[in-house]
Amino acid sequence: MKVTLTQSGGFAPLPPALATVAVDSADLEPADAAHLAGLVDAAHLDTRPRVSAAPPGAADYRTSTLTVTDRRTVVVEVTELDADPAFRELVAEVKRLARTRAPKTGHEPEGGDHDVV
Amino acid sequence: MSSDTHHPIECILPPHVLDAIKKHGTADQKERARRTLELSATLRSNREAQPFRPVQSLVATATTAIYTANHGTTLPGTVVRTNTGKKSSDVAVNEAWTGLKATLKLYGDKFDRNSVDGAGMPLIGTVHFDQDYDNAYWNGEQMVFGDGDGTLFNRFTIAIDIMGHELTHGVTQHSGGMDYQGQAGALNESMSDVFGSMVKQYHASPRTKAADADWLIGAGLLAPGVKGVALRSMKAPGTAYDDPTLGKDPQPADMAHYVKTTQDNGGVHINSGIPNRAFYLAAVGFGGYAWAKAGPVWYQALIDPTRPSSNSFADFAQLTVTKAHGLYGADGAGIVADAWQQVGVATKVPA
Repeated sequence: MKVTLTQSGGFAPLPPALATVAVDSADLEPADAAHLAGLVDAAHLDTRPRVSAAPPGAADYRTSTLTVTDRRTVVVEVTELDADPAFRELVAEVKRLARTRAPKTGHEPEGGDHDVV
Repeated sequence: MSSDTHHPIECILPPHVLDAIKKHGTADQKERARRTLELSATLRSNREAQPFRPVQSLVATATTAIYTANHGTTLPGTVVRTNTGKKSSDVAVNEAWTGLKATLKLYGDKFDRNSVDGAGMPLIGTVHFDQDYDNAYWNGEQMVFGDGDGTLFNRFTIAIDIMGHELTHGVTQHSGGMDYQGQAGALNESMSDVFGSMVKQYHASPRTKAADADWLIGAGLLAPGVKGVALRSMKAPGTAYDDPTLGKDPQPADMAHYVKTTQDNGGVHINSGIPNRAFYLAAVGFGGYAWAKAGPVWYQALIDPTRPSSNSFADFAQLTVTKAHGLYGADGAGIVADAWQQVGVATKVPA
């Protein structure tokens, strides 16, 4: 299973290296791959609207586009205004897994983590 | 929930109806009713303590409240400061409060506008949203601020223009709106930068004239070690930062460098550099304080009921030239037309 996350928007810019990240289960430790699969299931991407609309007047929110390819491909686009805990957890995990495989940039604090959303 | 249904409930329903909703409504309705009653009580308390005040003073004390999300994502969270409350020991709470009040004051003092909807809408800001959250936004009902990750960004209340920026999204929303896509979206973002910057200049002591202002959006927001001075420069779009991790400020300064992209709703935070610079040039062209002449031109264009929410740069530019002509005659219209011309947007000065 391959999961690609693209984020855009926001009052502040997204670092280019974090705007699009991808993880492939084949490259993960078995425990991480199983955890990721569980989060994908829990997010119920199949039953979500393909695109979530922001409320009138809303601005500066971020939008996440998740593309999950397994036996088939599912693409959903969710604004952070609509993101439920299951979706947020999946996004956070994809970013965490991607970070562990990314080269250092020079701005990492001790421990190396920083979340954008 | 859209603002169309939200604000009438919060602003018009009498307390007994709200009490009924609090008892018998859905969980969401109960929560909204509780918040409204709380805010209304604060407003009543202020009015009773001050039997008569000029309209502009009332504007400056409009009902406001700051909440904390306590690093979660539930909004609005827990109330931590209201009009009747004391200053907090939490710097983010106080910064959000000060920014909110300063924004109300600019709109009240200089644009005769009472809150973001023009009708005294209670205002809410939530700080400490999520963990290491690198953003601030307006959700159609309230402001939300993250603490930043401390590596790329500091807390998002650190610059007063950010509160002015977010609240101005509410002003735009209640002034006919501007579609959050393409050029209309970039104008929406630009209006927030324009008024956010004026909030900063008006709040400064002494107040800052256009020629002396830094015209930076989010000064202080970049964490130590990040190469840059702010998120955006209205005076020199594209020069605010250039950092190995954050990348280079992508804003164009004119139409020749307009960025076509599908990201960020068509680059609303990128191409806003063009109308941002037009406002800067107009403000400096008029001289004095930005809110004295350029500000009213932009504001009158924003609130014009004939302005379409899909307005392009050219549409809005022409409207500002027409407003400037009405307010200041041919000379004023010429200053505004020249500002737009310098960023590559042609207009016609009325005869």
